[in-house]
Amino acid sequence: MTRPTDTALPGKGMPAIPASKRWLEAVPWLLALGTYAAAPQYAPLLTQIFVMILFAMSLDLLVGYTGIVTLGHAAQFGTGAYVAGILAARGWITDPTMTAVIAMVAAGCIGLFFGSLMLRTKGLAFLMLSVASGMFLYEIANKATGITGGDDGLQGVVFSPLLGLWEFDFRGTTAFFYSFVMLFLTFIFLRRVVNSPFGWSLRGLRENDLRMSAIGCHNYRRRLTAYTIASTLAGLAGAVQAQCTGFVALNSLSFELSGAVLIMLILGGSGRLYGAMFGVPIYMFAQDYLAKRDPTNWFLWQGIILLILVLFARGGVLSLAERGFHACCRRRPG
Amino acid sequence: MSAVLDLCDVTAGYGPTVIIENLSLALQAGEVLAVLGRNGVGKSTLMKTIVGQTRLHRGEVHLKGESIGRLPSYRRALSGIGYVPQERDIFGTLTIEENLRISARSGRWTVEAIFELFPNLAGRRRNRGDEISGGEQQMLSIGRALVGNPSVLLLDEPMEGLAPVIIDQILKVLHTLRSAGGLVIVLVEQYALMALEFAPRTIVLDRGRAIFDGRSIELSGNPELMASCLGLSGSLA
Repeated sequence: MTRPTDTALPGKGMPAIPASKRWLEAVPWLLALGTYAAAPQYAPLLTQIFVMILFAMSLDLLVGYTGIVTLGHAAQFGTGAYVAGILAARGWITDPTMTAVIAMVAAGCIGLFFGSLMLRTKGLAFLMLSVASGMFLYEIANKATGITGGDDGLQGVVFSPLLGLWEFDFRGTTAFFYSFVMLFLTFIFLRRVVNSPFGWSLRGLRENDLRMSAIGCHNYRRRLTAYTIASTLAGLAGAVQAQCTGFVALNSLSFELSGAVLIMLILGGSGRLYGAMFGVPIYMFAQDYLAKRDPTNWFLWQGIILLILVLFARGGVLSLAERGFHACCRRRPG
Repeated sequence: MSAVLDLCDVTAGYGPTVIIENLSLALQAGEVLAVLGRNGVGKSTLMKTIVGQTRLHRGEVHLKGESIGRLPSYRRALSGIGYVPQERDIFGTLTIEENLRISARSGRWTVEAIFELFPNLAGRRRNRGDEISGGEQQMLSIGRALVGNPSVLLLDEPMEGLAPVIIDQILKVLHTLRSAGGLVIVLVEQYALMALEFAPRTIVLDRGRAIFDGRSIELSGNPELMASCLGLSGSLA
């Protein structure tokens, strides 16, 4: 088979970055490491951003590539966080790698279960069911205080040193590098997935599922596979969150988190993997800034910014940047 | 010899609405059939009924002796139905090569064989589906159906809206497919004379029923019959 096309930045109407400019792909990664080198005191914030990017990337497989818009993705994130947290808090398994794997399996199973029910519907019905799936797990976690800590969250979560070598220190150095590596590995994995025949078929489903069916694709199974993969990765994001913070909050299963991660993705640009890398930090910094500037009305400002983006930059921030980049390339040939 | 594609007394349509009524049709291996008729008589619905995109009210559809009338669309495709829809339905965000590869199944028609058949596509294999011309999209649509290595190829108005030079190229390919033999080709076409010349057998539909089923030469050689079946005089091309 010939090499798959390099569509790491495919967008929905923009050409991919030319091979000669491929080095640009390294920029976000170098920027992250550079930020840490310049200001290591921000390691916990960067870790939080990496976790959310990982989470948003998993959602991108559904929203951007498969055309499944869900408002219940936090169900899988929270499952991953709680599974990893409970295993460590009870002292059953404290190894970070092992708990991450178990959390991924658990989130994948939850995704498979809910997906098998929800993906029989479409549109608004699916959206409502996705909200219900998140609320269902949220309420279970809320009521099972003996296991989850309920509204207070799960505390006293202590993991053993990473690979038996690195403790999760209070400065957040181990957490920073751990979340960075997890994010990078997830990105490589997702990049391979979306550029494989399976990934192409997901884009085909997003565009025209009737046509996909007519060329022999079992659409339901294909969507369910994508949903399970995305759920597994959301579970990983949740587990990393629990490992890096040593705490699992009840809102890791909340509707608000599902909505926020969707907004982050739309802000950055869905269907291009890198969109999450831009959307998440912009959202988090904007939220922080707006909350400080106008504590009472910051939600309003956030809404106005989103409205402007949706109206004038439908592909998100990355789409705007891409358009500018290609305009520059056209002006300066070679 | 048993028919590759066999429609027995088929009544089908969209939801409760019946479009095709009591249609029977049997096609042997290598047979080429033209489906003619005015607009809205059910030509495309017939294709969609074979593909599984309509509601089958009554009757049976058999492919190579197996009943496929109640199978979902994807199972029919896997059984050997290749469909080139009127709208082409190219996946715009996938490249030409990706469009072909997601449909490919083992058999004679590989992606490279399609590129040999349509050299225009080979040169633009890395272009996205929404970056190519209408003619190239039609070639891609035919190629995408072929890489599934079907035993029945359904072509729904493949020449619609194309420039004469592109029509010639596509016709040449269709002649190649016909000459190769083995493949059942069902061609729905508005250019009646072209279709009659290409397909040895023709059915003419009117309000969902077959009002003519016979040798194309009988129809093309009889202007009165042409006029009564198609409502047009001899110069139809």
